[in-house]
Order: sequence, then C-alpha cells, then structure tokens
Amino acid sequence: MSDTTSVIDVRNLDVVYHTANGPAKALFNIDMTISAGERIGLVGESGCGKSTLLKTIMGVLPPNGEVTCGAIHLGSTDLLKLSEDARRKTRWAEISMITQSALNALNPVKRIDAQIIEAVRAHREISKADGKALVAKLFEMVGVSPERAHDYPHQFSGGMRQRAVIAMALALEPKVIIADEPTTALDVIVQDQIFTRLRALQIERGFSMILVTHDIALVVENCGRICVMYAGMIVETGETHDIVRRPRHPYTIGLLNAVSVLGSTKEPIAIPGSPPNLFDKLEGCRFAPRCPLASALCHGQVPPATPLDNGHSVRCHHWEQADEFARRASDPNVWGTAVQSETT
Amino acid sequence: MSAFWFRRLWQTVLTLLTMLTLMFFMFRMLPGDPMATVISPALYPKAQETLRIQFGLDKPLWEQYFVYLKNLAVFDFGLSFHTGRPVADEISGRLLNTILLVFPSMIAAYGLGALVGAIVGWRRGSKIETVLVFLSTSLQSAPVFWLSMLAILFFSIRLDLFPIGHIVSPGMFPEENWRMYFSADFLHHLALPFMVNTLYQFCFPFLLMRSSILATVGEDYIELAKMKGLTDRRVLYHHAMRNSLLPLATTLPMTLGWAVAGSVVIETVFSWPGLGLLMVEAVGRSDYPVVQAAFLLIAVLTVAGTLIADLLYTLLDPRIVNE
Amino acid sequence: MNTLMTFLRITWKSTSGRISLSIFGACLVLAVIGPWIAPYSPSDRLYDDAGKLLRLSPPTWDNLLGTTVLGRDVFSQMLWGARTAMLVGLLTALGTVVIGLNFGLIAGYFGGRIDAILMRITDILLGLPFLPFIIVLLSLTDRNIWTIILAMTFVMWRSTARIVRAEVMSLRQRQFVASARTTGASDVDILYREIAPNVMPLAVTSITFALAWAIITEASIGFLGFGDPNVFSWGSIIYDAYASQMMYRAPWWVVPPGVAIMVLVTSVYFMGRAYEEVINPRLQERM
Repeated sequence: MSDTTSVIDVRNLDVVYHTANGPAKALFNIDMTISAGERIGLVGESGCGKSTLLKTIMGVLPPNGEVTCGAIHLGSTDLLKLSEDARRKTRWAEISMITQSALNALNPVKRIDAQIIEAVRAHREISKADGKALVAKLFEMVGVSPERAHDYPHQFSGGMRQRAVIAMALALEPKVIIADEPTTALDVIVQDQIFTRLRALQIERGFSMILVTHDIALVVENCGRICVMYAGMIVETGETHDIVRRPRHPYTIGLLNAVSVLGSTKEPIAIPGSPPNLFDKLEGCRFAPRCPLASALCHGQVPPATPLDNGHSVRCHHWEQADEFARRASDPNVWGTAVQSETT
Repeated sequence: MSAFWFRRLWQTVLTLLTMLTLMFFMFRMLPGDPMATVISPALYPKAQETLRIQFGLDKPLWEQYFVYLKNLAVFDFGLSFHTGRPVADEISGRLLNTILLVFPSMIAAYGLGALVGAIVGWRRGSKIETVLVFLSTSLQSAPVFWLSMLAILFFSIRLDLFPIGHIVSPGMFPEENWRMYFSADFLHHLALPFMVNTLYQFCFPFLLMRSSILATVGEDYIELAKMKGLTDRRVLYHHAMRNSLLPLATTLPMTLGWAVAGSVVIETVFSWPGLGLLMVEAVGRSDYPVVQAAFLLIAVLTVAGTLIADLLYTLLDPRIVNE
Repeated sequence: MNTLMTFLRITWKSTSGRISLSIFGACLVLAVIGPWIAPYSPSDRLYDDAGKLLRLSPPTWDNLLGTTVLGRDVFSQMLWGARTAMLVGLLTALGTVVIGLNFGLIAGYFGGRIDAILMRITDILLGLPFLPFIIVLLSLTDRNIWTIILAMTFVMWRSTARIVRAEVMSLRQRQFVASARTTGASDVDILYREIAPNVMPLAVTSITFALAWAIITEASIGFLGFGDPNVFSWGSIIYDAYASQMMYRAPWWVVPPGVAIMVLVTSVYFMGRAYEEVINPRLQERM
C-alpha cells in the first residue's frame, strides 16, 4: 500500500440486493484504499459490481440494496454510520462523480448552469454573480466556452456534455472524483481529448480520481494503480506497472490478453464463458468455472487476499503459477479447455 | 416552428369545420321532418315561411350549407324554439358558468393529483399508495351524478352546509349580471359541485403522475441529482416532478375539453345553469337550434383544449422550442 | 379465444387481478341468470297484505333493497340492470376494439395517405365532445340500447386506433416483418399473422378501458333520461329516483345502483392494470 494518507478506505464491504428472485450478492469482501492525489482504476466486465461499489460509496444504492457488513471511511468518519442528512452533505462536496452517460445524466429540462449552481447551493450559499463567475471559471477549466453555460443539455454535443459534467464534478473542489465510464458514448478522438484534460486537471487540482471502466487499456494509460473486479470481488490490485508487467491473477491475464496491443499482430482473445449468476450460492473462487488453472481447492474455498510486494495483492490460490500461465495464455485453446472441462 | 403552428392551426380549423358539417347533415338528414329541427313547428305557418326563406331552407342543400356557415361566422344560431329569443343571447352567459365550474375544479384536481401522485410514486410500495390508488380508482369508477347525489344527500341535506343546487339563491340577483359572480352566495353554491368534480377528476392526474415518477426514479439525472447532495425533497420537486409535469401538462387541456363535455352530468344534478344543462334541457324540449349551438360551443371548447395542450407542451419542454 | 385465455392466465397471477376477475365474473353470471333469479318482475307494482301499494318501502326480507316510489322491487331492477350494463359494456368494447384494431393496423402498416386520412378522422373524433354528441344523436334517433351501443362505438374506437397504430409503426421496422416479406407473404398475411398477434396485448388493455367507459357512459345516458325506456339499467334506476324527487328520502333506491357501477367498473380497471403490469415490463420492479 502506498505510504501517502488514504482519502477513502473501504473495508470488508458486503452488499446484497433483495429481489423477487431472492437475494443477489453483489459485493463480497471489498477492500480498497484511495490515497490522496492518486489516480486509481477500477476495472471489470459489466455486471461485476463496479456500479454497485460506486453507488455504495456515494450512498445512492436503490432501496432494495443493503450493506450487510463493512465500513467506508472518508478520513476518519465512517460514511455508513452517518445520518442521512450528514451523509447528504458529504456528497459532491467531498466525493463527486462524472457519470457513465453524460447524455442522460443532465436533466433535459434545466439549463446547464442552473444544474451546476444547484449542486453548489446544496452545500453553501452563493450569490447569483458568484455563481455565474464560478460556472464561467469551471467551463474554462474543462474547455467549453462560458457563453454556452446557459444552454440546455440537448444543445450540447456529446463531448461538450461530458465536459459539462466534469465541470459540475469540479464545482465544489471535492477530495475525490469518481469517473464512471466517462467516455463510453464518445468517439476515440473526443475520448482522448477528455482524458488529457482530466489528467491535467487532476494534477493541477490534486484531487484523487477513481476511473471506473471495463476497458483495462484506459486504466493502464491513465492510472497509477489498478483494482481488478470480478463477480463482486476485487481479485487483484497493485501498481499499474507491476500488474501490466507481472499480472498474478488469471482473470487479469485474460483481460490484458483481450486488449490488442498497438503494433502487435496478435488477435485479442476474449475469455470464454460468462460470470456466475449472483443469485446462485457461490462457493470457492468465483472465477474458477472459467479458469484454466482451477483445481479442486479453487472450487471449494474462497482464495484469501494474498499480499505481495509493493502493495500488490491477489486473490488466487495458484498465483505462483501466474508467470508460467501468462506465457501460454496467448493461445486461445488454453482458455477453451477450462470452460469445456466445466461443462463435461 | 411557425410551420408547425401553421399546420396545427390548420388541423384545428379542419376539425371544427368537419364537426360543423357533421352537425349540419346530422340535423337535416336524419329521419323525420328535416324542417322541424330548424324551424319551430309551433310557429304560425306564415312565420315559418318567413324563417324558411331567411334560413334559405327553400334552396338546395348545398346552398343551405353555405348559409349555415355564414350565419355561424356571425354567431347567428337562429331563434330558440322555446323562448323565441336569439340563441346567441340564450347561450352566452351559460358558457361562462360552465367554465367557472369546470376549469377551477380541473386545475385543483391536477394540482392535487400531481402533488399526491409525485409523493406517493417517490415512496413507492407504501400502504398509503395502495389505499390511494384503490380509492381514486373507485371514485373515478363511480358515476359522477351518483357521487353528486350522495354529496348533496350528506352535505346539503344531512349537514345543511351547502345549498342543494343552482348558481345563486333564487331572487338574490333578479338581473343576472357580473356582480353575481363576486358574491359569497355564488361561491357557496359553487363549493359542492367544485369539490365533487375535483375529487372525481383527481384519479387521472394522480395515477399519471405516480407512474411518470416511477419511470423517472431510475433515470441517470435523478441519480446524479441525489449524488450532488441535493435534499430528497429538492430532487423530487425540482427534478423528478419537474420532468414528470410534462406529460401531465399535455393532458390537462385535453381532459379539460373532456371535462367540459362531461359537465353535462354534473350540471344536471346541481341544476347549474351551464352549457351542459342547457343542452340537456333543450333536447328535452326539442329546441334544436339551442341544442346545436350548445353542442358546437362545447365542441369548440374541447378542440381549443387540445390546441392549448400543444402550446403548453412547447412552452414547458425546451427540447421542442429549439427544434 | 387464445387471447382471452392468456388474459385470464396473466391477470390471475396477482392478488388484485384475482379479486377483480372474480368480481367481474360474478357480475357476468348475475347478468346472465339475473332475470331468472329476480324475485319480481322489475316493473311490477307490489302491494302489501292490506292491498296498499308498497311505496318506498325500506329493505325487508321480501324486498331486499326496498321498493321505489311506484312500489317496484329495487333488487329485481338491479338484476335486470346488470344484464344491460354487461351487454352494453361488452358489445361496445368489442366493437371498439374490432374497429380500432383494424384501423390502427391499416394506418400503421401502410402509412402515407391512408394513414394521414385515418388519423385525421381520429383527430376529429377526439375533438368530439363524447357525451353531448351521443345525447344529440339519441335526441334525433330512436332511444334504444342498440343505438346507444352504436353511438358509443362510433366515438370510442379512436383511442384504440391511435394506440395500435403507434405500436404497428414500430413493429413494421422489425426483423420478423422483413423476413416474412422475403418469404413472399402478402400484406394481409403480414398484417394479420405477423403483426396483429403482437399488438393484441395493447388491444386487450384498451378493451378494458372501453369496457369501463361504456358502462359509465351508458349509466350517464340513462341518468340524463336518454336511455332505452324499455330496458332497466342502473343509470335509469338512479334517474327514476332523481326524477321522482324522492331519492334523498330513499337511500336504498339510489345507493345500490351506484355502488354496483362503482364496483364493476373498478374491477374492470384493476383487471386491466393487473394485466398491463405483466405485459409492460417498464412497470415492473427494477433491480
């Protein structure tokens, strides 16, 4: 773990959704630390629990979601123990968010500047003139002409809307900004512009950033640290260069495999199979059914988080075989066998 | 945008014109003596003859049609069979009475329905929700004339709180004039039909708002609004409700039109001298010119309602204004 | 027939659906057998043992719901009224859906001029004040339940047509329609074999609305005194009470028909809603 002070510290967090089909165990035993001023990437397939984790941190779980155990410390206060009103006051002021689809995240019938000022007003008094000045400053920071601030969202292009949402996230100068798939709906060029801008802002302003995405390449490009999530668990975490160089979890190896490296002639390989159904009773390692390294131990017992050097940590019984496995993982047949042996 | 309005206006005119035409032929083509629906059979033959020429009834049908349109354009609906006075005079005060009964109660029903629907939808799954949905549906399912009768039975007869009917106490205003509408007596008479109509009309906006809020709750911008640290109430009133008001606003004028049409029933029970009661009475007396005029006015109100609905929609939804 | 079975199966799944279906079913049974189990003829004037007319008798064992000002048995009138309400409601709803469904299918599928003309017609009908129009129509023609059914159907199909049309327009773009076309299916085939089954759920929902509306409207017509004079309907029972000016003295005469209408129509609405909640996934609980 890094030696700087932690801003958010998630400990042993479990979340369950109560549904008509029974409980779904969405998060299991999540440990995650975000240090001051760092950029950390949270990566995993859709449905792996990334969004649930974010919602839990922001305190906006739907009514059927329940935190069954754990703590989320912001500084020295446990967010989960705060009253609703105290909790509300921490939102946006301490932790803000750049949402997944800026397209739908802005209220279509309210002007953009009003939506930003509204966020500020929820936390402190601000005069009309100051509000206007603030919005103008924020718009300049994200690279949109301040004259457009009084527009409605539909008058903005996708990229501009995303910038507006970033401006909104910066409005109260929070300690942490969560960026949830901030560029999914945008084309590659705009995506690149936005990330360049975000990195620059992060360095300039010094907030911590959690980048949440399914695209491990984005994380590698933008973040110093990575958390890899699978089926509601964090399976591997560590410094980006450590993980890219020596991934220790077969799933991480698979994810890195699935990314086509620029200049490489190799086809990216997708991991066959699909994540487990969270309604099922899950025993052992949740990745075992898709894992070529899986043994009887994996099916029976949840692997503990094993600390390695330099804050690197992995949840795999066979992490020691990772180096050897990584060499043959570029052969699609290696992955195929796991799923086949599972079905036969 | 102006093209849209031009088309919309043209549609309205077309609708009204078709309705006028429909009326014209309905009153002249249906079985029985067609003259009997235009000229009172009670008049002397000589007078009948004069009117026949005045209304061009001796001319072919298509020519009569244009005379009919021309007369309508100058609000000449002919003479009432019953009173012998011009229909336009008979009808003018009635229109206002209907509007004074229907519009305030509809607005009250929509205001109340929107508010209660929003709160109930926001806290979904509560006991109150189930009870309110059931109650409002039952109210809407009951015939409004029957509800009115029960209200009279209870509030007017049992408790003696309100008058049984009419718009003012008999003899209070021997000459109907504007002063009447500003009297406490008028409000006292308005109260009960107003309340019954409000309750009866409550269900539709209530259910619409509730389901609209339910659909809004999962939207990303609602989640973002919550994450911004807005209070629960602010998210509800400024985001969820603000957006759900749109579908509600569009239906208001339309249902306003329908409520005017439906006021026939409530006016009858409360002897409220509006267009609806006039129409029912006129039908009973076979006073066809009055029937026709009252019907046309109700139709104009209904169609105007739809037009206003579109206007409101464009005003409330910025996405449309700028397209 | 199939659609009806599906409707029953789906509606039966929820508690409110079961309750409302049972109430509706009970009303339907009463409508069929009512006139046979009615203790008196609804227009018979009843006399007591002393030979005095039973005017406004409160409920007794002989007259479960009391008698009218003319000494007629309210309970028997109610049973006959159930038949009228059901007959008028079901026939109007059926007519509305048959016309509305076909107009909607044709307008939505062919589009263009046909669509424009059909939609203009529904526009005009939407602007038509519903109840006043029917009253005017009834004032010019014979007052019998068939005219009432026809008049209501004439005005009510508009909504069904518009709902169905919108759905057909989106279905027209779907894959299965395109593949049906490549196999050489005719327009009629595509329309009635491929598209129609897909809009049936919508049509069923609009049937329930039409049913509810028709029952209330028939009652209103009866109350305004434009009902069929030869038929007993719940609306006309209330009208008789109202016209006699005795209604405020005889709640047993006025309350039951209103309650009957309210209960029946409420059950229809809840039936429709129970069905819609299953059909329309947007209304279902999100995870």
